[in-house]
Amino acid sequence: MSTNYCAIQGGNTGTPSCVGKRKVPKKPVVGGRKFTYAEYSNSETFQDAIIASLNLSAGDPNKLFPFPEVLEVANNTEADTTGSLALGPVVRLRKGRPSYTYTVDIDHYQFQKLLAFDNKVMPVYSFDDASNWWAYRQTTTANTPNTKDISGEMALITVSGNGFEDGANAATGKCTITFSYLSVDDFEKRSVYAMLPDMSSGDLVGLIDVMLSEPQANAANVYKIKMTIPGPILGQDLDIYDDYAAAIAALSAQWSAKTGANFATSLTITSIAVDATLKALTVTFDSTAYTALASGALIKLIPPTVTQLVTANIAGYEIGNIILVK
Amino acid sequence: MHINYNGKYFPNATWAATKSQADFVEHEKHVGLTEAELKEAYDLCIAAVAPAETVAGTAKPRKQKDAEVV
Repeated sequence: MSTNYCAIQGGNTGTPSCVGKRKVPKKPVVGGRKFTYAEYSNSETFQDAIIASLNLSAGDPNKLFPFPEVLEVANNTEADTTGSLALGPVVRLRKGRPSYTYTVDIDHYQFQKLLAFDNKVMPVYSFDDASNWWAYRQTTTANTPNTKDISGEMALITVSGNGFEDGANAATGKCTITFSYLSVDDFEKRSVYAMLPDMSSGDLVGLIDVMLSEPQANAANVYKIKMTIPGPILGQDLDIYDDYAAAIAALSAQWSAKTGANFATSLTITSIAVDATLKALTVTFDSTAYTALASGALIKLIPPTVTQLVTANIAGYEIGNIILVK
Repeated sequence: MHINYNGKYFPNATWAATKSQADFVEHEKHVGLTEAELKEAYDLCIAAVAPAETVAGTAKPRKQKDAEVV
């Protein structure tokens, strides 16, 4: 007969050799993508799946957004809340929640893009300097190997900084990104990692937004479409025509146009050609269908997807839609 | 299926096949090709959507002239 419950208070405390631990984070990667056991159980397959998730179009629920490389880490994890009675021991009342502030050195354009994530709660993966990819995984039923999907660890993201430097301190003028994890329990008990020895933080790079615009009014069913990268330098939007217009025009079969309620009706694109004078694409719609549209009708011109651009060796960009008006 | 004629792309050969050659030339006259080139582009579109010709059971290759079917 036992005289205490000590044996059932905890569990065995040994560990196998060569188990890793959280090291210094290099690249946070944010987004709703979940990975299956089949994807994460092999490092090469997993790495391919991660890279593919970076190259998805806006609105794709599986898109991942890599953040800039971390240059400095400040551990802002709350201290445990403790208390004691006058003659009693110090008792932990509440565990402190994990929070980390990363300092990154980025330009004004990227800072303005990151502000889209400010004050948002999102799943966050962390790639650390031991080439480990940290994630969250739910527990599974007893006596069953855990093959559940993994997802990012939920955290509140705040983005600040990038103001003027003070000329005396290297830390000034930098951007600070804080990840405050929502659940200390999940952060500690449900964290898992995958080893990605061939992954480099440089592989985790975000896409650049390309905007479509009309440099001049359309001539009936013939529209001129310019492709630029709007930036914060006045009068210096980047024109991708010289580098990519021919290759993007060659993807003519991947362009589409829609009209009508919810843009559910296809409008045929009959030709796409480069216009070297305007440094734009000439996009022609079927004149019969175009004429049948009411004046003022909206036409959504949809460019090739990120995946299609990557297949055509146009990597690193996402071209947005444009709404044209008849 | 789309047709590439000297860097001018016609992504809808099926649409072209619904038009006469003259209508196609008129419709696309602004893309920077001559009338003769547009006629050739039209022929390529038609060939792309038409079945290959056969002679004595042997398929003939489709017409290609300084351009390509992609």
